[in-house]
Amino acid sequence: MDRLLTLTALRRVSQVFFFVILVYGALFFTTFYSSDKFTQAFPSLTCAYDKSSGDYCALIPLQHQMDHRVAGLFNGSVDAMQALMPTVITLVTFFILIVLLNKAFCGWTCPLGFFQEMLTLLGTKLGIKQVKSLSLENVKKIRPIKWILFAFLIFIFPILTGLGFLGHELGSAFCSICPSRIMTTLAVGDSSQLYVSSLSWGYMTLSLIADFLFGLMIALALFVKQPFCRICPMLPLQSVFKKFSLFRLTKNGSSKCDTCGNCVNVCPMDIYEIQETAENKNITFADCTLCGKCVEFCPDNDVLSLKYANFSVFASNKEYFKKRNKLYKKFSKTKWVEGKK
Amino acid sequence: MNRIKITMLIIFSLSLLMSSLGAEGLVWHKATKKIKPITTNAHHGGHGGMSHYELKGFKEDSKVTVDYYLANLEKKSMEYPNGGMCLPQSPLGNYHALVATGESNGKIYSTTTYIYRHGRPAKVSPTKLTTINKATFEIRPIHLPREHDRYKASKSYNFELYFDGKPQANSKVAFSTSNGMTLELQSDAKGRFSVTMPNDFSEVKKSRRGNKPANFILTSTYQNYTTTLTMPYHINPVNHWHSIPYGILVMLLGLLAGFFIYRRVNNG
Repeated sequence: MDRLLTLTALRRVSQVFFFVILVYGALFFTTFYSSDKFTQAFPSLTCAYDKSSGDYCALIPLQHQMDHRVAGLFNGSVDAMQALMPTVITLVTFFILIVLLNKAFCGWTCPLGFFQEMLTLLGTKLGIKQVKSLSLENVKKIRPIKWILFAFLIFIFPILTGLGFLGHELGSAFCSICPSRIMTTLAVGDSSQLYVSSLSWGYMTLSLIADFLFGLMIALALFVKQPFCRICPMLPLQSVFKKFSLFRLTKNGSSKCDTCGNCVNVCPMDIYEIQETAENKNITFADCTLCGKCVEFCPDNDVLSLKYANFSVFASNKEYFKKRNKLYKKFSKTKWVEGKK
Repeated sequence: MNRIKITMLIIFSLSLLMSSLGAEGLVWHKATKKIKPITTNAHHGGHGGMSHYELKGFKEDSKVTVDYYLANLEKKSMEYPNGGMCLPQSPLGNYHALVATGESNGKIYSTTTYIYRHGRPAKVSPTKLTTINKATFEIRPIHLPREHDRYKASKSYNFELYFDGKPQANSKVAFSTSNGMTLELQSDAKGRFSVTMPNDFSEVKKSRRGNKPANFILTSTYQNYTTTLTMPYHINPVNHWHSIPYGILVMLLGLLAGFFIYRRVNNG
């Protein structure tokens, strides 16, 4: 049993637990309306679409607050308190979440992240050749997308909608294309979010993008690790606060790092920078989901470690690496497509 | 000739009786006109605005009591003024219940509606609001629509019938809508019944906010008690401008695009 107890196994337990709570929580815990109480008490956990969830996403209240409140500050229809207080509450709540969990929120709790990981596992089992890593060139091209989505879909479009420059469909532009909206609602047997709207050209375009993106994400996740996570605007939002977090990935460099490359090979987000030498440095990069795979597959003692408030929770070591590598070789029959580096 | 007279007399008496409180008893109706607010002990606040309610079937000489349950289950008894009432703004968010009870000619009528209001967290589940005894004979929604949701056409919803705090089994329930649809339902052994909201909106505008909701009314009678539950229900976009088959088709196109990317990657 001890042989099977790995960080990834613990992470799977956490993912399943949070998937049940976040997607079906309202059906199983306390009462049907437990999630309503979550919603009212913690605005950053609100999701408007999954009617059975105690959901997790801070992005919908942010968009609504930009559209209905912050925009009012620019045209003088509301005072500063009314305009900014809801956003402050959302951000403070989210800040607390990040202080406690940091980006482990993505790697350990996010239902969409878990869904994509399961698809990758399915792709492996089906014998679909896997892309080991995207090339550094492609990674660099993809990285700015999440910041663009974050700036435009979460802030700029909703504020312009609130000011009357854009149509109402762009008031919650990100949610309109978010694959998590479709995935979580389908998971509770509600197909009403997988639609094409003929209400207006704007609604139609957004619904087409959403459905296409959802299909594309499923197909890509069968052979590429975490395809949607790479452009998810949740990462930039977390990055704003990550320096204050108690949970972090640190590196105390080794001379072998240049030649090994295990950490980059196993990283689901293809963060090439992990390989660079660092002296006792916080290396929780913007794309990091704190999954801890790099720590698991690092063959040197204490080079990489997951720390909580400066206490090492899990650090790389030779013995664990041997055990983990053995397990990996035993269970994984992955066929690889060689990516360029 | 006498038989005709007697029959006419019976019909006249019955119509008088029914008209005293209306054939369906009392029914809450959200008023479109502005009604002068009434004074209560409720605190003012929140941003839900004023809500105006009228009782259909209310006659001036009827004795009616109104109980307003806040989202934290606090009960406020009010008087029902002629011409309708204006609910005070609530400082609390979530569902509130408005219950009217009237008595006429030995018959007891009650009507309930649930109103979603914005405000600070009530810290009480709306399930508790639906399950507390608000009238002797009562129709309770098993699940009220969640925040951002509402009763929609073509979707099924569950209710339960309670008499004196206990489930009322195998009783007839009349379902009707303000659009003219009627149905007859029956509660099961646990007092529960289900109804699919009809897609009975005749003139639907292609607009997210341009379509007014209709009201559904559930009515049940037991002994000398008649109770109603009335709530608004809305059009369902899936019946009008949301196409799920096309949505599935576009999703499949996305899958296909992913397949082509895979082939391209696989071929180096």
